[in-house]
Amino acid sequence: MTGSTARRFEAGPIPAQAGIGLRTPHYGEVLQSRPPVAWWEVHSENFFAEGGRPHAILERIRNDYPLSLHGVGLSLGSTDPLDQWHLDKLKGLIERYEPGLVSEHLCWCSVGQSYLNDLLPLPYTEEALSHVSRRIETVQDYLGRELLIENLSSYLQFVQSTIPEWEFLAEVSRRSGCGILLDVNNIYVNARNFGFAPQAYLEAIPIEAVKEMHLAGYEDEGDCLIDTHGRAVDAAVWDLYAQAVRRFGRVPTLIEWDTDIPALGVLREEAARAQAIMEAPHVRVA
Amino acid sequence: MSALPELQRRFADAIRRGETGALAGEIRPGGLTGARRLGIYRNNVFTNQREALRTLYPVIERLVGAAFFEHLAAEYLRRHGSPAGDLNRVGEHLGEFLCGFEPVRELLYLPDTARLEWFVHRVYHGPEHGPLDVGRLASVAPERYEALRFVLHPATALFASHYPVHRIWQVNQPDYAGEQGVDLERGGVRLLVQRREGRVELRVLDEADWAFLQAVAAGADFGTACDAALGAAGGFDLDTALARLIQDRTLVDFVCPVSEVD
Repeated sequence: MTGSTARRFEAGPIPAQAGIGLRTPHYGEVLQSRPPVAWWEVHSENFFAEGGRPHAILERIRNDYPLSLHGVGLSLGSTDPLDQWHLDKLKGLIERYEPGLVSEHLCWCSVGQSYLNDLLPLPYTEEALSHVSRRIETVQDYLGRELLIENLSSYLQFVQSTIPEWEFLAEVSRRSGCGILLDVNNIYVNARNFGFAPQAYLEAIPIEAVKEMHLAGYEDEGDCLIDTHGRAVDAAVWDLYAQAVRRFGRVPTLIEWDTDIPALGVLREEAARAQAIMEAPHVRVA
Repeated sequence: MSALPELQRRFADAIRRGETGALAGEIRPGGLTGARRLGIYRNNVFTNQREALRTLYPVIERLVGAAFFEHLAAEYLRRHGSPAGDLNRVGEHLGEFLCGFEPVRELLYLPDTARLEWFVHRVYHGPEHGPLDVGRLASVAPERYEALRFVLHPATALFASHYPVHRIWQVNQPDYAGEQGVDLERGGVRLLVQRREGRVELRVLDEADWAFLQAVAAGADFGTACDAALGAAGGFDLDTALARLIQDRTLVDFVCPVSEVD
């Protein structure tokens, strides 16, 4: 889409390295010290407003680093009409920042134009599959670019579901042509919550569709794992990530931390650990 | 068959009303109860929306306390919900809601304090704009001045209250170190909310500036806006006021309804 226009930013596409989710408490430090982080990801909706300090900061950061936009509110799986205001804001943001990747979730979050502002699970049915695939296609056409779609953590399964989650995700990608943002922590959380083998999940996902991975920490509430993004990546999730890297090769991988956000140094250590796994000698360079 | 709209509607109702047992038949049994599973979502939804309100209304939270703010947020969300996937848009009607919210009936200044916080939020995130082109203004023939329509900076709000909400706002800023008292008897205030170097500032306006800027904001031409200012305060000095409002970027553009030069 932007092939014919000159790029405004020096930093290019997202490299197949470990990046970090950029959050408000770290803005100042990143601007001042320009740490050697391979790329940053921000939540699209946090920059839907037109001006002010957040944009002034993001402009400066974007000039020096590759940037990815990650949405949480497009409500792709909802049976409401697509929110044109939201789509226009997202499109404007893409034109403004020329992000290397743009992603959203395989979920719904609104009914009757009233929003629940959480990532709610779909029933894995043929009806939902064809609905969400068509919506993703529509959005990709409107934005003029590929979306990456991320798998959720979830805490319930619907009786009416007839398709395993991993087959549903793979099929959404096949039908809509979207890429997959594979959240390895979410696979682990669901595997524990619902009792399936996470390796089976990985094996069902088409290798070429995976263009980004996410890593985060969960909370163990005893009867259930909750995806809080509030602690370090769990040892078992690192193991699963290593398996994912063996299957999918080296793809951009993000460390996400959204509650009880620690010092940037802690996030950089997590990113370094992901980087080391990616650089293991037997890993295929995608 | 279209089961999806129906399932989403029932799911949303169960979450909003806290009727976490209502969807039990739709949830695959085993391990946790359906109510516990829906309860996790209910908690996530409410936490996300309440935290967004807390971020937008820090002064209200300080005034009523964190525990009561939670209750207030729950009641607000029950009534108004969230209109967008962008949480920065939750809470637009909090001022109006507080007017009719019985537990805070005696805190007369609270609704206007909330309205001010919403304006502060809007101005903080409002669009950028460069300064007014004074060269272009100088080239306008003097007899055309009356017809000019000046344009306020897009990240600007005008707000009047019967209460000293600017003082309430100031003393409840995290970095405020001055005199803590607020004299509620001191009467109302007219404010210009604007952004400077990325920070929101509140400027107290006198009657003439208020009348002038209100008229400009309503789309009046310069002549009408000046009449409004002179009507409010006889001593209004047009030239000085105009120069000042251009210099401090309150006025950032103008529209000339006919040709600018003869």
